Formats: sequence, C-alpha cells, structure tokens
Amino acid sequence: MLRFTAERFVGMIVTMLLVSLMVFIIMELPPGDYADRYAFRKYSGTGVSVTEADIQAIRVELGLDKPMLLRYFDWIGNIVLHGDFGQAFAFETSVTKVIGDKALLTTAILFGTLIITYLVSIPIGIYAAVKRASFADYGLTTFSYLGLALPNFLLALILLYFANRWFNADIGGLFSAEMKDAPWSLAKAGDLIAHLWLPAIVLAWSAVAYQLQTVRATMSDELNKLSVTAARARGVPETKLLIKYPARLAINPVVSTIGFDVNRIFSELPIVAVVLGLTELGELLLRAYLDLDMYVAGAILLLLTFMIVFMNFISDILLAWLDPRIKLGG
Amino acid sequence: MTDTAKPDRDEAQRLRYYSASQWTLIWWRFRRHRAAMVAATILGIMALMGVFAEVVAPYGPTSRNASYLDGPPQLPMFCDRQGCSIRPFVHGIKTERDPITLRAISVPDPETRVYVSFLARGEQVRLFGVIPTDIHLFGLDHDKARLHLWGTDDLGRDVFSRTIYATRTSLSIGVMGVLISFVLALIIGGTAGYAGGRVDGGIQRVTEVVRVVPIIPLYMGLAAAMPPEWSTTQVYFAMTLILGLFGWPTLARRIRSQLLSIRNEDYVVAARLAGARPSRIIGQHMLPSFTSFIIVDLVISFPYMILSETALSFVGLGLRPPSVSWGVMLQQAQSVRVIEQTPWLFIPAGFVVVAVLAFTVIGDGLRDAADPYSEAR
Amino acid sequence: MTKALLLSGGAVLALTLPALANCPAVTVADLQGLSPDYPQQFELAEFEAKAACDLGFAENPEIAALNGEILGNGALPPVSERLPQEPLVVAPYAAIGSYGGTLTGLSRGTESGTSDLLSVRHVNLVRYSDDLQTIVPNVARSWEWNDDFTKLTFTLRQGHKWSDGAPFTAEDVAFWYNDVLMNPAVIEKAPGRWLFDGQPATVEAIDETTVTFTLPVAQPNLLNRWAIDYGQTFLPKHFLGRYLDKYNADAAALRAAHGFADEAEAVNFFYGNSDWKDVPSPLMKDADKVAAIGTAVMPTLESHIVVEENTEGRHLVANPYFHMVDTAGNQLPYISEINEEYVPEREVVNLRIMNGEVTWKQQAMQLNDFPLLKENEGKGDYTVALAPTLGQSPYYSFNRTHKDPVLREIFSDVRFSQALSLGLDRNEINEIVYLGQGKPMQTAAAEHVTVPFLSAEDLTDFTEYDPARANALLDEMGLARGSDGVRRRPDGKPLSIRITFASQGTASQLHELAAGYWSDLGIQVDVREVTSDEYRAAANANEVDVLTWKNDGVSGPNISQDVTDALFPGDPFNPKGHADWATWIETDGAEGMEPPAYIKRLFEVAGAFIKHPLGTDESNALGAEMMKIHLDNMIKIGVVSEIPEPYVYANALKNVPALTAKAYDYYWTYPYRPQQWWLEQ
Repeated sequence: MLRFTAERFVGMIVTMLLVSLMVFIIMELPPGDYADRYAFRKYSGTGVSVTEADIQAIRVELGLDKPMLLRYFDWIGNIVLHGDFGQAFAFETSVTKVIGDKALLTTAILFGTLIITYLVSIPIGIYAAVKRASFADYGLTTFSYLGLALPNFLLALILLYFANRWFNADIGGLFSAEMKDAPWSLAKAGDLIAHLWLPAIVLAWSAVAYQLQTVRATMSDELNKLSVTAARARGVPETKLLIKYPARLAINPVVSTIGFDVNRIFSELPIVAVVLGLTELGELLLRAYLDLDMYVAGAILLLLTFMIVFMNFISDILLAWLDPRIKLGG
Repeated sequence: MTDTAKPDRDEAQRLRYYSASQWTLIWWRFRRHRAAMVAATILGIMALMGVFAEVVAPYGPTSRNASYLDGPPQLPMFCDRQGCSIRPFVHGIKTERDPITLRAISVPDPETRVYVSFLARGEQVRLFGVIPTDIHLFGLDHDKARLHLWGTDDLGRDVFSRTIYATRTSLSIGVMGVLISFVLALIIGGTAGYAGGRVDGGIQRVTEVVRVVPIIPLYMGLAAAMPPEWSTTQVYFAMTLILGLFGWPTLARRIRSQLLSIRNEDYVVAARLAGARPSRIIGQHMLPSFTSFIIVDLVISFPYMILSETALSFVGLGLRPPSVSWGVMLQQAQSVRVIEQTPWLFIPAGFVVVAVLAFTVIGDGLRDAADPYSEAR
Repeated sequence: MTKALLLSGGAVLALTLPALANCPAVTVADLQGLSPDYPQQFELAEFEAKAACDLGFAENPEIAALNGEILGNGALPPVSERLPQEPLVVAPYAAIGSYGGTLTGLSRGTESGTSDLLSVRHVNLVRYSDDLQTIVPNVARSWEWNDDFTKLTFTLRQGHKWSDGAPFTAEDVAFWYNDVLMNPAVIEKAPGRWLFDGQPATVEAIDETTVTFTLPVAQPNLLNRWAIDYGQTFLPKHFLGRYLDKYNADAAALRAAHGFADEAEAVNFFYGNSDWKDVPSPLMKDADKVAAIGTAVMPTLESHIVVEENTEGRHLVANPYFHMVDTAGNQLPYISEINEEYVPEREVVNLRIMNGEVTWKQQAMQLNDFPLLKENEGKGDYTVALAPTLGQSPYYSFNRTHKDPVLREIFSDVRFSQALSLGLDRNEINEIVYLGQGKPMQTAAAEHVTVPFLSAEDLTDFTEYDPARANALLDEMGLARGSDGVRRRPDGKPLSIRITFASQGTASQLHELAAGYWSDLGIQVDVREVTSDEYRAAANANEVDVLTWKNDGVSGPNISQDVTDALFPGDPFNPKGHADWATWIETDGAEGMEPPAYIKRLFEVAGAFIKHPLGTDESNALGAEMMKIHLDNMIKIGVVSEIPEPYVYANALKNVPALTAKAYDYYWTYPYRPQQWWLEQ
C-alpha cells in the first residue's frame, strides 16, 4: 500500500506539471494579448493615436514580449518558489488579492454541491436499480434528466424566476445586503446557506442525473451477478444482501470520479454564477478570459486543476482500499 | 452461453433458440422489453423526422411569418361558433401591438376559417438536398396564412419546423460525437486497462490532463483559434470532432478501471495462458463482462454531447444561423421574456428530455437483453 | 485665515442688514414668478435678489456619519462654511426633497457599463440644461470668450472646496493641464483631444477664481466639451502636487514613504492614465497601501465619493462639501448613498428590476425588454418609460479598405451599398426588432435632430424596399449569379460576406434579418456574434467585411468640437474602420492607403467645420457638405432611426423628469440633475 501510494504520488506531481503546461497553453490560445487591451483602455477616448510601437512598449512593460517557454517558466517558477501568481492587469493589482477569499466561497459551493449530489444520487440510484423498470424508477430517472437536459443557464434562470415569484427570494448574490460586509458569524453562515441552495440545486441537479445513472447501472450489473443470486438463495435478508455485496461495488465508479465531478461542476459554475450573481472564481474566470487578463485566468485554472489532480490521487488510494484487486494489478 | 430453456417449448423453437447467435438472442430478449421497444420507436420516429425534415416541416427553418411574431401555438380544431367540420381548421390571425406595453398580441378572427390539409403544397425544398419537391406533410389551404402548431419566435419563424430541423442536427451531432469518443475510449482505455503498469501510468497521466481542464475556457480558446472563414458545414464537423475528442476520457477511465479489476479473473488468466491475442482477450472475454456498463455510458454521453453543443454555442463556437439545433433554439429561449411571455419556445427542451430518456430506457433494455442470466430471473 | 475673516465679515453684514423674508421653495413646476438667468437654476445673489429673501442653509442630518466613512476626512465645519460663498441654487423639478436613502444602480463591471452611474454623480465646469440647447454654469460661475474664439475664461466659485475640505481654485485647473496631461514625466503621450492642430493650449490661473484657456487656433465650439464630456478638467493640486518635486521639496521622501517609485506611479495610483473615471480606484488596486497612506481616493467635486470598491461593486457617500443647494437652502445631494453593483447578465438585470431592487437604470436597457418590464411595473413598484435616443441607430458600412482587393473594389462601388440598402425591408425590421417604434431612415455623420444642417428629409434616399432595383444594380455591376443563385465576384469566387457584430452595438435579430434579405439578392451572408472587445479589435485591425454599430458620438455638441466620430477610423470605442485612409492623410501619403477624392475632401471640410461656431452660415454650409459626401457615397447604410429606449426608476425616486433624450452624447443623466433626485422613505 505504501509503495502504491508513493507511486501514485509521483504520478500526481508529473500530472500537475503537465497540467500547468496545458493551462498555460490555454492561456495562450486566444489571439492577441493584454497589451492591446491595455492600450485600448489607456488611450481610448483621449484622442491619442496608438501605434504598434506603443503597444510593443506596453508589451515589454508587462513582460509579454518574451518567448512563450520563458514566460511559462517565469510564471510557474514564481508560483512554486514565491507563491506569486502574477499581476491582475484589469484590476491593476496582484492576482492573489483578486482571488483572495473567493477561493473559499468557491470551494464551499463546489463541495456543497458534491455532497448534495452524493447524498441524493447514491441511495436513489440503488433504489432505482432494485425497482428497475418500475414507475418509481422511470419517474426518478425522468426527473433527474430534466436537470441534465435543460442547459444550466436556463435552469438557473427558471429556478431564479420561480424562486423569486413564489418565495420572494433575493435575486442573486451569496449574501443579503446587510450581511455582505459583516464579519463572519453564525448568522452570516446561515445567510450564506440560505443563498447557497439555489446554485447548489442547479449545479447538483445535472450532476445527480449523471451519478444516479451510473450507480443505477453498476448496481443493476452487480444485482445480476451469480454471487447475489446465490446469497439470495441462501436466504440472506434483502437489505443486508444489498449493502453487503452490490451496493459496495456500485460506489466504486462513483469514487473513482470524485475529482472529475468537481471539474464538471466547476465547468458549469461560470454560467450559473453569472445568472445567479455569485461572485466566485468561475465567474471571475470567464470575465478574466474575455478580458485577456491571463494571469487571473491561469491562476484560477491552475488552482482548480491541481485540486482535481489531488482529489484523483485521493480517489485512487481510496479505490485501492475499497477494491484491493486494483492495487495488485497496478 | 447455455440457457435453461423451459422443457415445454416445442422442439423447432428450441432448436432455433440453441442455434441462434448471441446478437440474435439479445434482439429476441430486447423485443420483449416493452418500455425499451416504446423508447426505440420514439427515437426511430425522431430520427425519421430528422431525415425527412424537409417534408415533415411545413416551412423552412429560417422562413418567417412577419404577421405572426411571438405567436402562441395554434391548435387545429373541428368546431367553432359557426359549427363543425370534418376537416380540421384554424382561425385567421392578426397581430396587434398593445399600445401601452408594446407587446405583440395575436388576435384570432373567429369569422375566418383556414382549413388544414395533408400532403399540402408549400415551399419548394430539396429532400436530402437533392430531390426537389413542394409537398409537405401538412399545411394550410391558404396561400398567405400559415399554420404554427407550436407558435413562432420573435422573428416569426415556425417553432415546429425549426424543431424538426434541429432534431436532425442535434441527433446527428450527438451520435457522431459519441461514436468518435467511444472508439477513442475503447482504444485508449482498453490499452491502459489491459497493459497496466507503465503504459497504464503514462496513459493515465495524459487522460487526467485532458480531463481536469475545465471545458469552457478550453472551448473558448479553441473557438478563438478556429479559422473565422469556415463555413457552417465545416463548423459543424469541427464541432463533432471537438466533442468527440474531449468526450473520451470519462469512458476510457471507466473501461480501464473495469478492465483492471477483472484482468486477474480466472477466465482472463486462462485465456492469456492459452495464448490468445490481447485484442481477442479484451474483445471476447473482458469487454462482454461489462457491456451493459459501456452501453449505459454511451447512452449517458449523449445528453452531454447535446449539452456540450449548447455550451459551444454559448461561447460562439457553436452552430450559427441558418443552422439550427436544439442547443441553438434553447439558447434563444434563455430570457425572462421567454419564460413569462413565450414559453412555447421551450418545446425543444422537451425533445431533449425525451431523446435522452429514450436512450436511457433503450440502454436498460439492452442491458437486460445482453445479460445471459436475465432469463433465469 | 483671510477666508475666516471674510466669512465672519459676511455674517456681520448679514446681521446688520434689515431682516428679509424667508425664501420661497421655488421648483421647476412652480417658479413662483421668478425667471432665472439660466434655466432651472440661480446664482445665490441672483436668487436672493429676485426673491427678495435671505437663504439660510441646512444639511443632511446623516452628513457627519457619512463624512466618517470617507477615509482621511476630518471633522466637519458647519454647512455654511462647507459651501462656496456663492453656491449654485438649484430649483428641484417637482418638490423640495428630503434627505437620506441609498440609490442602487447596476453596472456590468469595474470598467463596463459604468457611465450611467458615473453621470449621476458627475460635475464639470458647465452643463447642458435638460432642453439640450442651453449651456448653464455648474462648477464654473461663468465663462467668457474673446472675439476670435482663441481665449476662454472661466470664473470659479469663491470658497468652493474639495471633498476633503481643501479649497478648490483655478490652480487646480491649471495643474490638471500643465502638470498632469501635458507633463511627459506623468503621462507619456499628451492626449490629442486636448491638443489643437497638434499644439497645446496655454492654461493659466489668473487669480484664485479665474482660469484662462488660450488656444493656438480658434475653437468656437469647445465649451461644449465641458458640457457633455466625461472628463473633468481639474485635479486636486494640494493632493497630487505633493508627490511632484516641482511643488514639494520633500516629494521624494513622501513618495518613498507611500511606496511610489516615481511621480508617474504616484499620480497613476490615484488618477489613472487618463480622464476616464471608471478605472480601478486605489481601494481596488492596493487596499493595504490605502490604509498606510490614510486616504482612499483622490478628493472630488462630485456629488458623491467612492468609499468602498471591490470586484462586486462600489459604494459611495454624499460629498459633504458639494457646491449646490436647493431653493430652500438644503445642501445637495439629497440622496445619502449610492450602491453600484456589477451585474453582467442582462436577464438578471431584468429580474432585479422586476423585483424592485433597482433605483435607477437607463444605460443598456433595450427596447425589446420594454413589454416585459412594463407588465411587471406594479409588482416591482417601479416605472419604466421610453425616452427618445440619440446615437442608437444601427448602420452598416462596407469596408472600402478591405484587405482583399476584389472585395475592396466591390465595396468601393457605391452601387453595391445602394443595392444592399434597397434590399433591406426597413418596415419589417422596425416592426420586428424595434417594436414598430423607430423610423426607417438613412444615417449620416451627424445626429439629425441635433444639428441645423441635416433633416429627416435628407435621409430618405434608397430607404424603400425594392429588391428588383437592388438586383438590377448588382447585375449592372457585373456580379452575375451562378447556377446556385449566388453571385460571383470578378475572380469567379462566390460573393460571400460575413457580418461580425457585438450585441452591445447592434441587435442580433437585425443581422439575422439583414442576412436573409441579402441572401435573397444572391449574396452569401454569414453572421457571427463576438464580444464588443473582439469587435473593436477586429474593426481596428481592418479584419471585418462590414462595420456595424450604433451611430453614436455624432451629436452636434460633440462633432462641433471633436470631429473624430464623423471621420475615420472613428474613436476606438466606436470604430469606423478604414484606418489606412486616416494613416495616409496623417502621413501625407507616406503610409497607408490613398483614399478616394471624396474622402480627402471630407477630411478637409471636417477640419474647417470645427473652426466655425455651430449654427452660423459657414458652419451650416460645411456641415451640409460633410453630410452630402456621406450620403452621396453611402459610406454608411442607415437602417432605422429615432428609436426610443426604456429607462427605469423606482417609484420612490422623486424629481426625475421625463428624459428629453437618452444619450451618451449628452452624458446620460447629467442634464437631469441627479443631485436633486430624492428618495421617498
């Protein structure tokens, strides 16, 4: 087990390096750079005619003129060695300041969603598998698929609309106006939860649909195994039988994808966040990317991807522990 | 793959049963799964509607009716104040603007009837892009008037017709995307899961890198990098390719972990000892043990493909007019105005839900049918 | 010291005079027989004389608390000492308001869609009255031109103070121009809009309240700039000057103590790079530094000052030294606080409005949301009204300097633009996109309701829907149709164009419709939506087939003193493309692309146009010629004009007049005096 963990750990480091390179490439994909935008911001409406030389000067000033590989090493070097994520051009401050406490809120949203997803999808998935092809099964499936079939933007908008119409909910934001600037307290945490349920439902709905189907499918497979039939024949009580064999195995694929669930949820976060007025990293990422404010975008992407890689590492270890056959094979 | 067939079956049928191939057996069993058959029929109808969109849809996807903007669905009826008729008809319609809210409001004129006819003559179209025809499944008897079963959008385009054309686009993109990612996943996941060790480790890293990158910025980056002069057809194919190229890791990782967990099962070891080629071991011995799993994953990839298409549209990499897909249509429905004033623009969402559900139920049926023990229950 | 003496002297004087009656609460609705020199406002002496009264001053009861939120401000002196000796007396529209409350408004982001709320707190030396015809005093009490329009003298208000209580004087105006704008150590490149024929003006502080602008060339319409511009021509010398070696012997030590490497960095931290006011404030850039320095933002003369800023929004409180009072002597603004929240998504903006969470919103409100908002008025307790707009009419301008020589030649042929103009069914567009509220019309380089030399009748050519004639024109050009019905270019390729647009500029439905009409003419049209930044970048880089945006920036007061928007390449926010022509003209033919004769003439005429006072015969003749060049060569294809747009205000918000026009060209709310808006509690 120790050797397996060590091997996986090395693998994780390698992945993180590759990921950082990938993130950097994504940062480089859109044509143009912040020098153009900066020149535009700086001079537009002032009647100054901007020449290519001016833009080049800005580029040098911002350090954007260096070759790509050099910039990559500068960037990742500063992060690893000094924890310095670079400049947030559009906000004219450092990336760390812009991201700041948003990271915490984003993590809260992600994990809140994740917990809801698992709490709902695993028991219901098992139930649906046991009652397969029944009215309950199809009803639950249909309902969960509604979350998957409607684009998240639309789902968020519709929920927001009806939450507002029927329950007079606040429109958007993570805190009510009076709590926004208050120091952290129990009341503020309560306020956060009161605002968090809507985005969490929107985000969890589609994730639930996915996991529910996975659990249901694996569970169905396991239920059909001879071991289950044999156990049933031996007269093992149904509930105990379910928990002892198939349910444990049915969770296996769920565990193996925790990291990617986080990614999937985060991928949908920006759009939901825009609608629900959440000021968190997903929305900031989208904005930074559109603004070509690349170090902000890069930092967010990097933090997220590192978190996912780390969670995958944990899930690998967990999986090996749940199902030792994998470890032996590896 | 033997079976404990009931002894009371007559001899001929028994013989047929024993000599039937595995896939024939699956088909037989699938046929008995009623829900799955219903789902397959629905999906089949959808596919047919898509294939014959030009004839099924009364109007073209971009054809406009300027006198019926944001018009509600029209229900053909048989009776009105003037009495009943055998042929269904609709009332003539005028659009007026509310003087205060400026909202376009359609006012039916109960005095005029316009009759619905089937196999009506209408717009000139080319079936499959080749065969010229002006016959449509249904239409109105009148030259000017139009029948809008599901209403119209803000440009006065027929929602029914657009949905039919969208069905074609979305189903084909979904299917192609799923196929591409399936093939990739099979190769990559299969190799990793079977080989294990270093190969697995290397592939794992690559898979992980592709998977951990959030999709939206990646799409946005690709959107920016895609040549702007591409035609809508090129964009369409590029999209299926991108969807396929980024859709494989989920499936690959699952195939791999399943393979890993069974590669030391006795029958696999036995096959390996007997000198079977790796591709045969994977294809013949290992994969069938979790076929249903793959099927479910394939089925479940489908809505993701459709939704990814929507996401692509959102960031400007998606389809552009005059192309129309479910994603594009829902994109246009994303406003408070639509929720409150023209909810019929959400009809394509129903198609998405139905299609996705149909795939699930079919997946279910297939799982049962593919499972050799299911009969024993 | 002298000031205190003066004040006490004044007080003594007031006491010794025979007691006068209380002043009447004059409003715009009921002027009580008074007729101000300028519409809707008085100078204090003028008011007291005309009403034969003595105006006492009152203040917002919360003002001390609000002042406490302004980092670095000391305790407040009494209101009479905070106001200038000659405050501006403003007649409220409907009623004398009461103090308090928070105005909540929405912007898209830190630097996006913010000018709506910027205009709410805006001040400048002068202002346009809500008739959009009369320039009236504001920060300046008066102004005077010399005979040949080369010297402009402003008289400021005695005893006017910055929001930190320091005196505001003519020195602050001179400082803005001489020590910041024209100081290469602070701003590398002097902004061209404050150069005149390439020459700087001479800005001198004659005495405490007199400042002169001496111009190298006649600029008869320049006063307009102070009336409509976002830029304020004064900066706190006492505040920024202390970082400059020129004014402070210990500047270097101060800069070091505050953590600034040089003069430019210090000025930039508070001011930014230009007169744009929505740049991130020090609060955003470096809150720690702000805490160390002890001042959050530079002092202001505006009605409200920023006290908080983060990535979610800004918070402002009333300026305790603001220079206006109402006719009852209450210091303005009435509204204590402004909450600016960033909401980038249009649908969420709509929901927030419908939910009654927005006090004021007009920028970026679109006509096709009007029915929805109107139907929900009651529930959200707000009013949504339509206002005429200036500069909202969309246009198409084909790129006559296209990189593809074949397309360049086709687009340069005026028949092409004429044909495409005839191919547009403007009535249908008006009905579908603009709810039938606009008027089908061509577009020239001026907003016709704001200038005397262009009328709606001049804008009717080629506006009828006539596909037959359009096809004939295209056939005549030799663009024959292929077997697939698509016209072929001279090199045999299908004639294919792409409309690249941003929905901030023009509505997507418009382009979908246009693409349809033009496809019917045998032209392959592809529509692509991009962000506004991408659109501007593409247009400035000469990478679009057709420029399409709303025709803003061309109202009379604007083009009469800054003709950029009537020419090429326009301003970077509203690019008109064709940068190669401009380069050719700027470099006398050394670089760029030689423009056709009519463009050369257009530049000539435009140069002469701004040298004549708007409305004179010379100005009208030159203006008319500019318009004729635009129309004869159909540089822009106009679609629909005079489109009204909605604006929204909470029913609790009082003293809001019906907007004469919703226009950035007059700086949004600036003519409607938001300082006298108030909130009914």
